[in-house]
Amino acid sequence: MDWGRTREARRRGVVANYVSAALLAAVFCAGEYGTWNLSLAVVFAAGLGAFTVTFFVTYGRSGFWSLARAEAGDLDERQILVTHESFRRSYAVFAIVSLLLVVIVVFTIRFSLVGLTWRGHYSFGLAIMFLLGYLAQVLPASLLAWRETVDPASADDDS
Amino acid sequence: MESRKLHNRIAVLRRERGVSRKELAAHIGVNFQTVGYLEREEYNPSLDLAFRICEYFGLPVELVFGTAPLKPLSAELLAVRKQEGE
Repeated sequence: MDWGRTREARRRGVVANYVSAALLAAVFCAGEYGTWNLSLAVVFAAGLGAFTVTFFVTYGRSGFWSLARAEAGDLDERQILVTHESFRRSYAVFAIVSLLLVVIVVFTIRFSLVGLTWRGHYSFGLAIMFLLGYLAQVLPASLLAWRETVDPASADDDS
Repeated sequence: MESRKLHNRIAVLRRERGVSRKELAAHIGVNFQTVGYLEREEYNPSLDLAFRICEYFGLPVELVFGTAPLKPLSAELLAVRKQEGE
């Protein structure tokens, strides 16, 4: 698997990682709100595997996770520029996603769109916390992986 | 204001002198991948970095960077010789 080598492959990795994170949250909600059974557990385990692999390949091995977290003193002028841009865009995306989630939750409660028990509230609350927390951590690295042409961890030395 | 794309001869000069991206990067104080971005003209260097690159190659700025696509150095040399001959 050559994920992380080309920008297109990396972009597929970013999408696959978000999809697997959403799948994990959905299966968790289904299991906690309903009943856990073997098939749900298998799907959850498969989702966890896909989430871990896509995270490692797209952000870990490629070096984007480290780049997004590096101190400014360890970066050169171009790296400072691209990480600054990724954090600026991340803030905007995160603000919109958080606002949308709050609006959805408020309208769901106000108009009783979904008849949730305390267990439903707890599982949906945990899933939203996980997704928002993960999004906050991974968004800058995602945007770097989406936009950069070369992996920070690649050799890229044509001498 | 959108900045103009700068063209450069970094790749040619680096290969001509048998220097790797890592070696050049170490001399000019950037990550070696930034040298790749500069060579592919995907990043415009700051004035300070541009001067550091020119100092490393020992060439004037106008020979290394330009706002229009740069001609091969051989063609430029030929033009200078023709000018001198006239």
